[in-house]
Amino acid sequence: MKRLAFVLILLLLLGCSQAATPESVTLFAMDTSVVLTCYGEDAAACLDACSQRLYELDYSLDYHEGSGPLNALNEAFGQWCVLDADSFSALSLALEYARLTDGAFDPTIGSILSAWDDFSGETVPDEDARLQAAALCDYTAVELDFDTMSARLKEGQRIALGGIGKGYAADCLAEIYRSYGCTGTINLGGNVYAVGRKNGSSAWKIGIKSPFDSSLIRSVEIFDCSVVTSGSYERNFTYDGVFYHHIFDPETGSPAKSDLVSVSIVCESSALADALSTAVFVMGFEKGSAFLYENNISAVLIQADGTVTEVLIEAF
Amino acid sequence: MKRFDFLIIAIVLLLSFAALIPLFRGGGDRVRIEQDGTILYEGPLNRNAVIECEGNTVEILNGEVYITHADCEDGLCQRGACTPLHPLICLPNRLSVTIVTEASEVDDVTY
Repeated sequence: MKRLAFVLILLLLLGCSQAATPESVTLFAMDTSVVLTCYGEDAAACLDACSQRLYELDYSLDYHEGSGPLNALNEAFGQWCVLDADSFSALSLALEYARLTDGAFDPTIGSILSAWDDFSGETVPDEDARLQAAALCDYTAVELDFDTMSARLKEGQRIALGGIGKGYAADCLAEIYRSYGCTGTINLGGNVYAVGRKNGSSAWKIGIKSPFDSSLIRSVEIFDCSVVTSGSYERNFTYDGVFYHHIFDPETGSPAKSDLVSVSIVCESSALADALSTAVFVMGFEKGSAFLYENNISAVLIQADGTVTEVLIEAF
Repeated sequence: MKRFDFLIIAIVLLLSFAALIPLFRGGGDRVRIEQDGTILYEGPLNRNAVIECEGNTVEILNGEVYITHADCEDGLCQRGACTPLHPLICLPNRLSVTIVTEASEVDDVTY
């Protein structure tokens, strides 16, 4: 019996000496790289389920030509179009966030993206073309039928869910982690969701990349929460000496003239964080800060002059 | 205690310490190249190497990592060096190049 107890104690030490090692996978979906890091006994099965779900979402939320229900909606020329569960749910959320932000985030921005050739860097539309595209950008004109999961656009409008898609996907994948009893992080092209607590008790430390160089400018400590960043430094091009970034102002059809270079939203809903990171950038520092305080949303705002402002971060 | 007891104890102790080997491996930062979910290469950052992948060439030279050739249309992956916070990604070729640090100050990075 003493011998058995001794062996069991040593085996226990063996278990303790092995720090929890996560399963990790890198995927390519939704036009970006996706890194899933998962802790738990069923981590491998969890990641398999996440991969499958990610490719489903990639199809449902893609609005580009030749693919999925959203493309069908964009090509329906003002007729009702039946969507699938994910595309309808994401569109419904997007419209809700458009109302919340008074149009600073607007999923009908597809007409502007088309005018800019999906921001390929090869087309810079003139002022008239930008304003014509902006005139079609109007979330209030979109109709939804919840009974049939259908939607109807005003003719000429186009839906683009790039401003909410990764956040919506992160929320879906976080639910899968929880259903398998797993914890860890989900990173879709910089859109981060931290599921559960690290090592059962601690918060996850998520760094915010500086928009000016390759360092970390801040970090936040979160659990069961998401951090999403939008910034003018990630996707941009210069044409005839003029700098253009990819975050468009729905009212002008041009890249937003913002005094912000980076907005990181911290929120339990990654879809909301995704939408608001775009909206607050468009609003600019003063209006954006007021919106955040009014709606009790935490964020880190970085202005073009390098000033970093934390909004309600101590709440975490 | 009998000889057999010592054997059992020795085996269990050996196994328990073996689990600690990765912690003492040291060696600094490492470069990991993955394509289509498969790890093609993993080696120390301080070892010069040229790694040919399908559609891309990755070069590690004097502690810096670049994608020096890509057959993709936009060539975005060839802009700039790989850093621990900024992996190099070639989406068309489903290739990622990351620098893995042993002790990271954060669990993940938003950008």
